[in-house]
Amino acid sequence: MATREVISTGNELAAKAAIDAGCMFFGGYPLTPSSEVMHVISDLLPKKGGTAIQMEDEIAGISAVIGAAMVGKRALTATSGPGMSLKAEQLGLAQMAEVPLVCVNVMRGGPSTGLPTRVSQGDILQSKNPSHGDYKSITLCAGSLAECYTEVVRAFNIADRFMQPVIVLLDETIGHMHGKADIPTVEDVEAGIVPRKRFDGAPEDYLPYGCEHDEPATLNPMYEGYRYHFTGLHHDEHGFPTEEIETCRKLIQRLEDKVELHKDEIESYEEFMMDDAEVMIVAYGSVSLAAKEAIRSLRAEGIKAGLFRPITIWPSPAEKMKEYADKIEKVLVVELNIAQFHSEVQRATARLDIDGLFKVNGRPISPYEIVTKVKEL
Amino acid sequence: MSEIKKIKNLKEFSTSADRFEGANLLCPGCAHSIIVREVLNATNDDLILAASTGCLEVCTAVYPYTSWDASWIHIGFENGSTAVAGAEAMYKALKTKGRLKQPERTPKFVAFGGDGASYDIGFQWISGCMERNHDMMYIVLDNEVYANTGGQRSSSTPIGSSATTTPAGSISYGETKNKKDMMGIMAAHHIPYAAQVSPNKWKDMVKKIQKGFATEGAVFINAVSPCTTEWKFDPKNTMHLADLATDSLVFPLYEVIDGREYNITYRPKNIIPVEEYLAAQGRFKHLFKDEYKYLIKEWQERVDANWAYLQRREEAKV
Repeated sequence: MATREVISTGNELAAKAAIDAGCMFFGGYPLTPSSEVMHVISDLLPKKGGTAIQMEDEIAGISAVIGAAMVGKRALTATSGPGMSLKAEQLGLAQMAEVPLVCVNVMRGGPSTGLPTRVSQGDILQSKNPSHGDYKSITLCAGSLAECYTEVVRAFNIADRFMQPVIVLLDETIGHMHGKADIPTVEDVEAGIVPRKRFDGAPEDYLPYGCEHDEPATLNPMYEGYRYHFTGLHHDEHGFPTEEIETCRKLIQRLEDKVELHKDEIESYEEFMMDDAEVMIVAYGSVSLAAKEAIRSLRAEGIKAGLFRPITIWPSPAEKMKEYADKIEKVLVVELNIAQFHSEVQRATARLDIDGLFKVNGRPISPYEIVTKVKEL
Repeated sequence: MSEIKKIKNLKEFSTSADRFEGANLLCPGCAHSIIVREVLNATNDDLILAASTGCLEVCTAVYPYTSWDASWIHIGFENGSTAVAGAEAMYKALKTKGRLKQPERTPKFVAFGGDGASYDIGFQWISGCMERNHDMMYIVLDNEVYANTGGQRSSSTPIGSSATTTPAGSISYGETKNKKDMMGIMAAHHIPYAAQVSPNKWKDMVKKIQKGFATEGAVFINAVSPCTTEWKFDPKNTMHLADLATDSLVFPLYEVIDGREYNITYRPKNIIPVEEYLAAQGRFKHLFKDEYKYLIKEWQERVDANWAYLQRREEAKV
């Protein structure tokens, strides 16, 4: 695949990726440290014929995005933790009504106002279940500048494939990082766009939610002659509210299965020096950069460490983690929160002796801290 | 009811019991601290304050320092109004039951918010407080932009202003929407008192704040707060900009009683053209290009129409 070299920040790359992936609408609200996504897109999107609106709050931001997505366009919103908390209800609606959209979350310290200008990875568990009820979140996490671009592109394709919101996690360090990145060409991105499924038969035969047990809904764009009901209530194949026992069960089971049974299409991870590793470090986002540096130092000292970096956080690459954990005794999860992904590694590997290195003071973890911790194991 | 504090002159006023210290991290030339000090110095009563997330909150309480010599709540972006309403409701309940430990003290409840927190995200919360008519004062520090998060537009940002999310350039002249008429909306709640104030018209301001404190029920104050960083002017000109805003009638000073009775409290002797107000700020620089000059004319017409409307409302007394 052809690439191009750019010098940019993570937030800027996320905005550019959205535009190259065909995003035509942005609705958002200023929130440090994600605001640059909105600044860049406010400038670039109108030039592409799209619309960027700064809404009156976070809830309005995602609501407008839901509306735009229902018209058949790709739509984006960007925020940080406090904004995610406010958007939660509408993320639930988008899960229930099956609206494809992308939500970039540039993580900062929490809870509440927290540490607005400092790094954190405290929203890992929030992104798994931002809203109440049962559904299966899809969350991707960028671990480099280039991935701020590629993961946003991928998120749009996944959102349209599975007809649901996709969260892309950046963190303050990656979002504000400024440097060189090799990213795919616009032509390659455009060639990779998988259009949303649509129904082309007679309007009277159209059943938006009448799909297989593991398939997403087929929501034709509005204003094209296909009428259907859109609701956050439990609904039947037409989209009309219902309390019918079997219909309700099937609907919620399908929301789960459409992702769970097709995990292989979403799963993504990086293995760094894992071939002969005797210590497995699990890290993601900006922390993985420090982990790689630490692994190089450790290897220079003869300690065979390797990195397993989930890129798709939810659903997690559980089988792969288990495979490694079955043969590697020392497993260390390094993250900027208190054991949020650590608990997932414990679950996936069915091991309670997984070690952790956690930091929650708004500062990045240094390679030195990781090296020291690995030596203590 | 507590006694109204007597204020003789500006020197005495500006040096009287300071409950808001000058040493803070606000930009040099920021009007926020001046407005807050004028409000706090207008009374001797105890104060229970809240500030929504914004410049004021971020810059005045950075550990280990605080500018506030008063009870002060920092809450979310949207709910400064509601936090104070809760405190006021609790105070009232304790008072009714005779369970106040110091019944002789008569605290005043004040919430500060920027225009982002007030015109946008906190709008419904303020509306709720006004509707329930809590005995509190809500003060907007209106700098017409999200100054704390990087200069994004708010619904207070006036037409033609260049902001980071409504940048002026080849295909746009910046913000395309008119400023929200917050005073009109608040007055429509039929609250006992609403007023616009400017930091450099300090006598007018003190009078209104004291009137607000003496009022039983909800009070809404909209204060123009020139922002040196986002309006783009020399920090030494803050008060000059505040004067330009009032003297050009872009920001007229008036009060509304019970949502019906309008009183204009300041009539500039020499009304200056809006163009002069716009020319003093970098955010309107592009409007002076030939293709956008019609916007300045429209600005003037809008301001004239609004002034005429206010005068009619004042005369009509309805």
